[in-house]
Amino acid sequence: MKICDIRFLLTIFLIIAAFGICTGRASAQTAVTGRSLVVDLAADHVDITLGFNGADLTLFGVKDKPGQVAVVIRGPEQTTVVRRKSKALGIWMNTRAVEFLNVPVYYDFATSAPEPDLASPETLNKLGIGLDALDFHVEKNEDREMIDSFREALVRNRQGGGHFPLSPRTVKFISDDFFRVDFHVPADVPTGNYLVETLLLNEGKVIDRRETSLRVAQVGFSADVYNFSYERPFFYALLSVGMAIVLGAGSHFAFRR
Amino acid sequence: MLVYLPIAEMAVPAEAVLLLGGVAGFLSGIFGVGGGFLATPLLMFMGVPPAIAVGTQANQLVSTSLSGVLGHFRRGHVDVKLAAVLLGGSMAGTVLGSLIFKILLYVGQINLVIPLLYVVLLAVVGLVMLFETIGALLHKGSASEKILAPWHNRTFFKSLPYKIHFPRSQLHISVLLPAGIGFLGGLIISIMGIGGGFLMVPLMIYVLGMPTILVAGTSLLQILMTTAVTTVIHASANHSVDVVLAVLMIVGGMAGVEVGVRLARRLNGTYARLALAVLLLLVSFQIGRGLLVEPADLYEIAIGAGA
Repeated sequence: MKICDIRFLLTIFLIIAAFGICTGRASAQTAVTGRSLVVDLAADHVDITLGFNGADLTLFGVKDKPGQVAVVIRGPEQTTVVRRKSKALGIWMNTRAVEFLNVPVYYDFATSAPEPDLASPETLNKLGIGLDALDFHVEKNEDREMIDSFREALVRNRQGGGHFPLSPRTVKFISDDFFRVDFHVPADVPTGNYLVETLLLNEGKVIDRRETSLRVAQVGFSADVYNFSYERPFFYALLSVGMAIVLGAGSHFAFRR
Repeated sequence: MLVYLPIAEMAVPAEAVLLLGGVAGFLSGIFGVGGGFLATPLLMFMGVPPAIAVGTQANQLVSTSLSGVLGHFRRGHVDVKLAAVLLGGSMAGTVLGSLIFKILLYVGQINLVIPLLYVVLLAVVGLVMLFETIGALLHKGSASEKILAPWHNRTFFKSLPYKIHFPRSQLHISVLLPAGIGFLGGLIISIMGIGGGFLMVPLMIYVLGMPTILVAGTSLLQILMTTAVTTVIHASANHSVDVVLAVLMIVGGMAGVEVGVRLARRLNGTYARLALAVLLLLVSFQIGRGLLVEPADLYEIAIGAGA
């Protein structure tokens, strides 16, 4: 009976969320039976418009078995080069570089309990929970120590920009089984398909997991400009020059000096 | 207010960009230089990727140089034939410059070479201008003319082949001289994202021996054509022109030019050049310090393949 009540509550919540937070789709997965974990994002897309200033992402979920919850969100992977400066010929210049092949452009995670209480470090690593679990590949076999220090710098840099977390966020329980997680993406969040994975863990073992996806993309005018510049680069170029000519001539004739 | 730049894929504060455009426009109005030497490094400092800062700056220069050149045309202060020769040289410079830019981006030294070029160029031009104006102030112009004006009479410049006549400027010089200056200008526009007026104007006066009154309009016409072509190359080949950023910079620049022009009318030309020399040296010093002082973070990251 209790679970039915909570599912009802969740449905109401999701409807409110769908109306209140976004105008897009928000599909509730509540009808599915035989699952011990049900989650949904309040909005399954982040729309980047001309006035975009970062976005809050909310995930609601319900579990019907005891255990701890962990949520991991990761953006598309990109090759990322880390360069280190050192003093050469009296000036500071980039002298060494390490290329990491699969760095998510955005990574954040939330847990309902401190990480050691969820599972062993090995399990957490395997499940991809936590910054230590990010396994970046390096093509060339540089020495281990150097790669570690470059990896550390990469994580520090991404943390500074708000693309990697400084500490895990918390999974907030609204009732015993009903939870929500809030993430925030910064204004310069890279576009692409993001994966949100929710895990239910009990005594260090995964009981259930759900995966949802999140689309981060420019919409409206911004998207039109972006698409135009990539689909018709030459005409975009002419348009840019034309715009500058109109404004330049306009300012000349407007002020007539 | 934050504005999202669709091509740079990042948000910037609109007020800051408008102000930046305004300052560049102010410098343009008061000194007749593009102001790019200040705007491009500041855009990069705001986090705009170097490629987009350079490409967009070229786009902005189209607008600034056009509104300037129209004024000079009305007064008849443009040598079109000479501008055409400059343009020929600068086209070659632009092509080579774009190539160099791509190579630097690839080897990861763009953040070293561009500041280094700024330091050297700004320091050299700033120092020459400083000595010239101090000399002019001390000797009421006569000494500086004696030192600098006969440059174009040097036998080396005179011995160059392919001489042609430029009736408007009343010059009979080798075509290689203006083409070479144009080549240098094209290189600077495509690598550093600045018009290069601050370098070309003195070269046109002292090396070509052009009448001073024609120099500004002629170099602006050349800059207009070159930046238009550079914008098309940057936008279609590198996708590095952000039209939203460009509009903000241009609108800010329009206001700045007006203020600058009004102030320039009340300013003695020599003092204006002295002020510009000091400004060039300050910017050079500031950028140079960044290369010499140990940075707070030794590491930098670049995202994307080929970055």
